[in-house]
Amino acid sequence: MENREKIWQSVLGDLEIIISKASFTTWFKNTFILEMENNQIIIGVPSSFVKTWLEKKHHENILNALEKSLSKNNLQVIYRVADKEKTANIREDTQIKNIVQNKAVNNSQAKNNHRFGLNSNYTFKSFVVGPGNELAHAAAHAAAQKPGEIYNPLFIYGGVGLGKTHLVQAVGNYILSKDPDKKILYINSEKFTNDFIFAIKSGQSEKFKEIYRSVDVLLIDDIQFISGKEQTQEEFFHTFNALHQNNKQIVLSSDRPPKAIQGVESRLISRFEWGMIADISSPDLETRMAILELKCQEKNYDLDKEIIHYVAENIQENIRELEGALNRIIAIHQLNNLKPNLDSIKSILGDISINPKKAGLTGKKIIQTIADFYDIKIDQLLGNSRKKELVLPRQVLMFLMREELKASFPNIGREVGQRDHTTAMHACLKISQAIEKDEKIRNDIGVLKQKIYE
Amino acid sequence: MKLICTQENLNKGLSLVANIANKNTNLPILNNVLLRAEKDGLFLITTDLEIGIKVFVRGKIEKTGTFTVEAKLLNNLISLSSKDNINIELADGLKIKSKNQETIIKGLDADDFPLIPEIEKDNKIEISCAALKKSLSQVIFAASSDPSRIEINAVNFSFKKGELILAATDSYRLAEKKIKITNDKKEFDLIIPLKTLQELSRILSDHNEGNLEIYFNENQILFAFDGVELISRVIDGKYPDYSQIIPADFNTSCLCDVSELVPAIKSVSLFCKQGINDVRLSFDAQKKELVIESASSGSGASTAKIKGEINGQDNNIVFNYRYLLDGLNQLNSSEVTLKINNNYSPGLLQSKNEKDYLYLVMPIRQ
Repeated sequence: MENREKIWQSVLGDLEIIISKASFTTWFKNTFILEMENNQIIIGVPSSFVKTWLEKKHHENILNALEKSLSKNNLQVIYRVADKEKTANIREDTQIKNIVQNKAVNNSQAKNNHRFGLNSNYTFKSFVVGPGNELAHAAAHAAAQKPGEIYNPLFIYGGVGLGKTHLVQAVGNYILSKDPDKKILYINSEKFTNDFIFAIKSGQSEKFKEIYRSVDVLLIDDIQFISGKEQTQEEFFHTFNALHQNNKQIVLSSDRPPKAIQGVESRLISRFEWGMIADISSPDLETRMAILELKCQEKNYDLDKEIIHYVAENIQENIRELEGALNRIIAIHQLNNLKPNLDSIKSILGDISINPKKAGLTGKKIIQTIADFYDIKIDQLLGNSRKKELVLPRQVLMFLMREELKASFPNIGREVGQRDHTTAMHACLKISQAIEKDEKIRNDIGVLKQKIYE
Repeated sequence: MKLICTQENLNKGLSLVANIANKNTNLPILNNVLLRAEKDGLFLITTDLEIGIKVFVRGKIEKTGTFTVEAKLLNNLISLSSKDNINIELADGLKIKSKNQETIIKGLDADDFPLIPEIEKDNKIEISCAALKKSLSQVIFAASSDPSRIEINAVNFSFKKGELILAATDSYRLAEKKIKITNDKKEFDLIIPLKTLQELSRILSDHNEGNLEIYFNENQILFAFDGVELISRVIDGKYPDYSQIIPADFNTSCLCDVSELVPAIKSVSLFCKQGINDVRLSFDAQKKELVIESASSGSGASTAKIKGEINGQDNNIVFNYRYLLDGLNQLNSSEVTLKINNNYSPGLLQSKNEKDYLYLVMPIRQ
């Protein structure tokens, strides 16, 4: 098979020089050697138009080039309408496709580590399940087992460094491990945008469509970045429909729930919400410890339970930070050839300065962020009006000051319009109860927490 | 090349072929029309490499020859010319002379124009133009418009003994039409691209008499009538076996007036949920009523009742109103029979006296 491909490539190379570029791309695209026996060669062509044209116009050239390439005379060349993909099952880029800059998903590259942009380290096996990500893990696992059938699309959201990318890629890796022939595309939404812009610029939007609509599984990371990009959204909308209609699995990830992504058309939002939405929240202490233990195993390094407990207790929000801290601990101890103990760990973690973000946070910043978020004036936020649309933001403000600044209740009361400390206490209690019951408030607080550290 | 023909004949020919010769940036010559003057007349040919159209134009040929010029340009020019004889001559471009105008259009040599594939004309099937035109309009609208699904972005032509069955679906609804033909040869299925049939309908639009001949092989199909030949590729694939989704029995059927049903659906649908287009149809066998209702939280709710001859059990089902109206518009009858089983399996529309056409709609499951 490969041999035929080589022969045809060399023939095409000869012909490309003789024939004008426009007619070369038109007439020789998707041609190939279908059969080759003794002196008879059958050329597969995509349509009868091409068949007639090659027979009448380029037969001499093709014959000469083939005879030259095979060093044979008296060849008999026949043309037959045939579909290359179906007949040969080769999806390799031919030279012609290169000329038109086809960036089709290439199966032949599937052998190395980064097949289709997937990192083979991200598997379900290496994913530590805890209460914060149980649902997301179960949904992703189900979607990977029966792609396109159960949860389509699967939408995973959660904060920075909590394992969204890991889960999304695990879906891809799982499907690949079961059926290596599946076409899987993993990209982030920025790449989608760039590809789309490139396709428009170079007038190849058809190619773009062909590539994105021919995959079996589409994994898009950080979908929130398409916000505000209307053309990209429209293209994505059509891609989404085409894939969804054909029951191709789609997995999306974002740092916030669909409804909270601003600047995205509502028809897209409603499609995001169509299948299954699963959130990943911060891991609890046990999960963090499990993650640390797993990482230690991977790196083949021994750490005492006590130390793991200490690290897990001190780095709370973010798994990426957790891994960073562990790397640092291992590196420093290996460099200095020390055995890790609690004191040395404390000094190292002190260096990293736990939660460095919090250093720059002030009450003012929180006030400003909340006023922007709820679109109200600061005077109103701190003022005396008890309108419903002001009261909730005010309570959220007090709650966040308590949570993030660890400010005292009397202090909070003073900062928020000279209120009594009991008002602040009530507000904090009310919001912390609302978080448990009301999903909207929970989401709002999540987004706000990210915003105040931006 | 040198010839004389009437403006009327040439204009008609050009308007038939010019439509597909456009917007090809890869191979500019595809925007051109090939003029081929032969002994007995002038041929106009265009192609987009999927479809090819060849039209014969009567004229007096003084010298044979070939040339190509931009199809749209020539079409516009001739349509604006006075209704007189037109002289065409090849001289440093295409020289076109009418009574009081002389034009030279630059063009390209005919050698580079694609050749239209030939089909051996041994499998002939004949259909009346009017019947095919009507049948096409009854199914085409149901075909999928999504080019990435090539098998159903098309209409299935199933040639059986004595009849031709056309079927189109976009997986939400299905239209099937049977036409009587004289075919005593083999049975054969072909999938014809939607674009080809839209072009065919366009060309047939003011042609009501005579017969159309169909020839085909496994890669190509040719429609020929009255000096026009349209050839197209056929889709290499298998059309979904739709017969198994048409239920054999129904629990409930309703016979009612199309003239009552259509306005009722239209007005109730004003209150359907945006983007879902849902209307609920309830069949009340005792009161002999068909109740149509829809509601949305934004705009309100509406209910309409129409009389109907209802057989079977009480039942209800939710449809996309657009799909319903699409089908009702194609029935050539004042009465329609609506048959359903439950809210999970498709509903069937059929006119009372036209048994060769059926329209199937998937319900919206809730």
